[in-house]
Amino acid sequence: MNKRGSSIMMIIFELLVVVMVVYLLTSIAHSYASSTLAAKVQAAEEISMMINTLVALPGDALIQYPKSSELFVFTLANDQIVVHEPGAITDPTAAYRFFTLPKDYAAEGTVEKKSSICLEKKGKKITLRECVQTQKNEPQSPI
Amino acid sequence: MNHKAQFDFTRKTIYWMFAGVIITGVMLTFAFTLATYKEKLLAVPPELKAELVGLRFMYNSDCFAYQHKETKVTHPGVIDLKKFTSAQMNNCYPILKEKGTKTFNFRLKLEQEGSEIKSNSYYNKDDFAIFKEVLVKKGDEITKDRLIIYVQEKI
Repeated sequence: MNKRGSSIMMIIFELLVVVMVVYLLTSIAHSYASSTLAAKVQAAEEISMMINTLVALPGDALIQYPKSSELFVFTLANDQIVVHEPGAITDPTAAYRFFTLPKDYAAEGTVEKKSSICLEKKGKKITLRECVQTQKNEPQSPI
Repeated sequence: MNHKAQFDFTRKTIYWMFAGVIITGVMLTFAFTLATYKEKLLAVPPELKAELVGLRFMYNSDCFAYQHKETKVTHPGVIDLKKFTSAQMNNCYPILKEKGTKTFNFRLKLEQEGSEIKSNSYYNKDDFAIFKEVLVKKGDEITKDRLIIYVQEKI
């Protein structure tokens, strides 16, 4: 390879590196700045606070999450709520929030892309489910 | 390839080795800065979260709220002194020892009564306190008291 050939190769390599760096920085900024990530974190945080509030209630209750929940999948397991995007097997930007239930309490339920979701406390069980509509646009007896 | 071309090629290769490390560092710092900024924007005050977790201590009969034996009616805001024990605290707020330092821990004190209990990973690091006016049921007596909920955040 002569001098000219090697310098052209280096210029192409440098251009590729610059393009790659610009692309990566833009994609990192875009992924963090997108509102869906913030919405997922916020939803997980709010639902975990709602669960803590439900635990404090001495009786049974049904409450509706007051925001739109059509974009995400909500999975409630015993000690955590996970909010992630549908379709993806593993969503790297899924939002997790942990909570502590009293002994013998259980929490479960999965809701995928539903317009409204409800949290129901019956005895020592908290269930996440789609709100059952009794009348048009009205959730079933929310408190 | 002559000597000068060889030297140029080697020099650029070494340059890009260093540049690769620096560029990776810049990108990681950029991602970390954005993640920190996002966390700050979405942060919920720990006082609010601790208050919501702490509600159970006063209102839930599986914690310390008084429940009538026969009617099974729970009296929110009335602390049953018989239940105010460490064992009941572990039933009400059962955190695993290994996860205990990553979440809230509580030290509950009834001001007039003087009784005090702690959750199982409370290491006397009071970050802030929540004050609640309560009634205390001791035998047949009901007295006014103040429940002080000392909160330990993550360690």
